[in-house]
This record gives sequence, C-alpha cells and structure tokens, in this order.
Amino acid sequence: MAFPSVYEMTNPLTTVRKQHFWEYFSGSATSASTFEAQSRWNTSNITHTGTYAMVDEADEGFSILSSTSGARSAIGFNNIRQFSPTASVAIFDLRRMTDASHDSYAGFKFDDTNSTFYDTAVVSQASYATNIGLYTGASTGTPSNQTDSNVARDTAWHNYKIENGSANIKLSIDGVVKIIKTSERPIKKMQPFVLNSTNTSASKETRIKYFEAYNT
Amino acid sequence: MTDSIYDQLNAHGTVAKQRVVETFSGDALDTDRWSAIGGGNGTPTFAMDSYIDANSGGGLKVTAGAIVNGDAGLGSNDTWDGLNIRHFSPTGSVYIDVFKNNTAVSTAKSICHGFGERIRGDSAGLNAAIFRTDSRQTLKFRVRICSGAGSQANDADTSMTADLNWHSYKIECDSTYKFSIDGVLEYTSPTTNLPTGAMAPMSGIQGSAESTAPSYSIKYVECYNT
Repeated sequence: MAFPSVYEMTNPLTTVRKQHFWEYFSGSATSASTFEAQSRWNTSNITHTGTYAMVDEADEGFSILSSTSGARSAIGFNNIRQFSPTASVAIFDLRRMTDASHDSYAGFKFDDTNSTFYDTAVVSQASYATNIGLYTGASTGTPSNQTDSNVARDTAWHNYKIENGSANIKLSIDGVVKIIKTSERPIKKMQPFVLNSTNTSASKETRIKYFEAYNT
Repeated sequence: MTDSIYDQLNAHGTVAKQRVVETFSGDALDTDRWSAIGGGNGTPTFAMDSYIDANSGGGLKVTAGAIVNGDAGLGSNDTWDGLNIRHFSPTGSVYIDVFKNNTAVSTAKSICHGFGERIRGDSAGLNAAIFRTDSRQTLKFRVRICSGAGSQANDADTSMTADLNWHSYKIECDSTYKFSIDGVLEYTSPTTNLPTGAMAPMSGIQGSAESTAPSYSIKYVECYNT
C-alpha cells in the first residue's frame, strides 16, 4: 500500500488540493441522454446530431460518432470552466476509427458549443494536416493555428498530455514531448472538450477511454 | 509503478474497505451519488461553479435561500432529516474534504461538513463528527462531535479564525477523534461522548436572521474505512 488516501496520491494534506478529476468512460450509457444522466459530461451537437455511447468492446471506451457531412459532435462540461489557461494539465487516451475526411480534437476549450478555436488548447488530428498537431488560440479575434508534431496521423490509440504553463503549452504524445508552443495561447478559463467531425457523408468516429484534468 | 489503484490504496491481498472519492468536476452535481436538498426554509441552489481554483470559487457551490434560517444540505438521504446511506464506521474511518465558506460567519448559524448520520444544516442530531462555523459562537473554525445519544460535549474551537479560503480538512474516527486543517492537527477528542452509529459524508448550512443567502463551496470529498 503506497497511499492511505487518493488525496495523498497527488497532494500532501498540507497542500489544498486544486480542481482535479479523472474519467474512465466505463459504464452502461447507450445514448446521449443516458450518458449525460450518468456522467459529468454534456453532449454538444455543434452541427447536426451525433451519436454518443459506450463501446461494447474490450479497451474501447466511449464513442462519438458523426454521420452527416459537416457534422460536428462534441462533449464538454456545458461551459462550466474550472481549468486555468496558464496552469493546468489534461491527460487522455484517444483514437480515431478512420483517417480520411475525419477531424478530431481533444483537450481544453472555453466554449463547447462551437468549433471556433479561440481560448483553446487541443490535440488535433485533422485531414488538412499530415501529422498530429497542437491547435491553440487566444481570445476571439486573434489568430488560432495548428503546430504540427512529427507524428503522422493514424487510427491507433495514443496517450496525450497537454500542459498549459505560464510561458508555453507543451504537447506530449505517448510520453514524449513533441511540441512546445509559446504563441496563440488561451487567455480565458477552460473546460475539457472532445470534438469529432466528418467532412463527408460517411460516418466518422472518435473514441476516448480516459480523461484526466487538473490545475497546477 | 504499480499497475492498479487498488494496490496503491490497499495492502496486497487484503479486501478493500468502503471508500468514496468525489471531485465535484463536470456539468452538474452527480445526483446518482448525492442528494441535494433543503430543510423547508427557502429554496437552496446547488451549482457547479465555473471558476478556476482561486478563492472566487470552483467545485460545487451550495447556497441557502435568502430568508431567515434558509437551509441547504448535501448527503445521501432523500429527506432533510432522513437517514443517510451510512457506509462509514464510527470507530474506524476517515473523512477528507476541500471546503470553503463563501460568506462571513455572521451570515449563518451553521455551516458544517464532515460525517453525520443525517443531512443537518444545523450541526445537530445524533452520530456526527463535523467541522463548522456558528454565528452565535466564536469566529473560529470549530469542531463538533454528536454522540450516539446526542451529546455535544466534544465541542471546541480550532486555532484558526474562520476565513473564506479553501482549506483541506481531515477527520479521523477511532477510539478518539482527530480533526486536522491543512495537515495540522487541531483537536483530539476524549474517548467519551463519541458516535456509536454508522455515518455518511454530509455538509449543510443554516442561515441566520440576515436573510442574505449564505453559501459554501466544496470541491473534493474522500471517505474510507480503516
């Protein structure tokens, strides 16, 4: 036994613990409504109506499916924003089930009701870029853009870590720091966010099986 | 690295005892786990607070109605004075939370949090071990133990003047009860006048005559049997 309490796994009791949650995406939800009722998450049909459900397979977590061309389907905290743009971390395991004409983004975002990336720090796997990237943006009216890593887009599970610091944002992929970005950084408080979108009439799906976020 | 959370928290080969961890993060309170109710005085609100950790808020904000003695509580029972689902031992358990008063001590007869057999915003009843503030007493963070017979003989100030900051609180229930704030032991009870019945995590508020909708925030609760 290493710790008497979960609290003391990450903080001594002499330190007041900051906002910190973790989500396993395990359960019985088979629809957006049951997922919302059973979880801390809110579904957001930014464009068209997505499908949200736990996957009935080993090690496959939760599915976000978009089935109409241009559909953008997301989960967030219904704009409850408890995470700092300059002192927070997100860790998550995510995959896409297809590659072509398929975009997915996950990390922190100010607004979960749109796909305009102001006040955002997300991992991007998008058809307009060859590689996995870090897409960030500051507040409305300022530039947002993607910085590419040297890891090619694929359909495999990857572990991602986004660290929002006072001087930069770091993206690690599978435990290796790939991007350190000092420009186009978010200014406002943010929430966890996962977005799946399809650019064709074919269904496109993103799966996620772990999401942890905390302020530092 | 240990593969399992189980092995991080339990000696190898032992059966885990009851434990709950709540991080109060998300779009709304998990009402499958928590009951959020009032005692009939005013209309309380329970809302996830869209703030980063600074003293402005974060976690879950519980606000009593803006009437005399407005009350609100969080626990696991469906009625104000009904029994909680009580998983935690009066002689072998720990309660940890991260909690803050949002309003001055004078605005509430009682803001309390810890273990109790019922949701009670007034810090009274049977079988409880709680931190509290009380507008009718000192301006300190206080501790109270309600015995199985309702005695409040173990009622004391801590050394800390009540403030509106986040603090970590810990209550250890054994042959004596120990109360710590921010990792510092503040009170150790005698071995008498202690709870005798099982308890559950709870918090609550009972307003004063000021009718100012007093509130508290909570962003972490962990309880386990030892």
